[in-house]
Amino acid sequence: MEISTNTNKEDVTVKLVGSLYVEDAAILREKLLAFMESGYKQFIINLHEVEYIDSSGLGVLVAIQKKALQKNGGVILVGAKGIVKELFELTRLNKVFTMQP
Amino acid sequence: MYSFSSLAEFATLRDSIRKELDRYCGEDALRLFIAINEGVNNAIFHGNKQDITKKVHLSMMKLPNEVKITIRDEGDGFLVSKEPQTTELWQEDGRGIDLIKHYVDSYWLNDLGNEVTFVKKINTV
Repeated sequence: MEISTNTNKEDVTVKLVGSLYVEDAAILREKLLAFMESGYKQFIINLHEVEYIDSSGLGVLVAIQKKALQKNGGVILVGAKGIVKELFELTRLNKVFTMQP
Repeated sequence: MYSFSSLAEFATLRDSIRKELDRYCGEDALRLFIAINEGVNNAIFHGNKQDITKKVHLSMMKLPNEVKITIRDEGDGFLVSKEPQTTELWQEDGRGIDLIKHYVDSYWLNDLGNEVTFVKKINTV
């Protein structure tokens, strides 16, 4: 998986490309927690080019959302489609995140 | 049959597993792969507890109307709870079993709890 990030004032935009497996989830968690420790609290995660997210990846996103909400921030997921969108709906995590097309 | 002892080793096998599933069940391949990936993660992390002296064994069998998957680890037998499980919405883990159950047609554990078998019916038209 490719993980690229871009910062803008209080926001971090994260672009993910490929499949998010358990080993990628650990890297993503560390990257996002590091941004959070630097004061960022709003995360926009671009899923347009994500083919698959496993349950560990979903768990990392939930963890980041919980921490971000505690800081009055949040996670916005953009562009989930196909099986990725299906996974968020199936696990009801579409209720946990702000999801945008 | 695939056998591997670590996540890194499994990672090198994912593409060939997916290609094999594509041959077996076409459009259902990705959903069955999701179930396998979750089952293997459970076996590596919860079954073998990432002990690389232990292996995970994955077999995929194409039968006339279904694909049968067996995942066995060499742990002490705590692969998953046998009780029905509904993941709390804000929980960070525990969704793997829910996903397996959703994406396969039947699912069972051996008595020891270190082997899971699941079956996905396939269209034969």
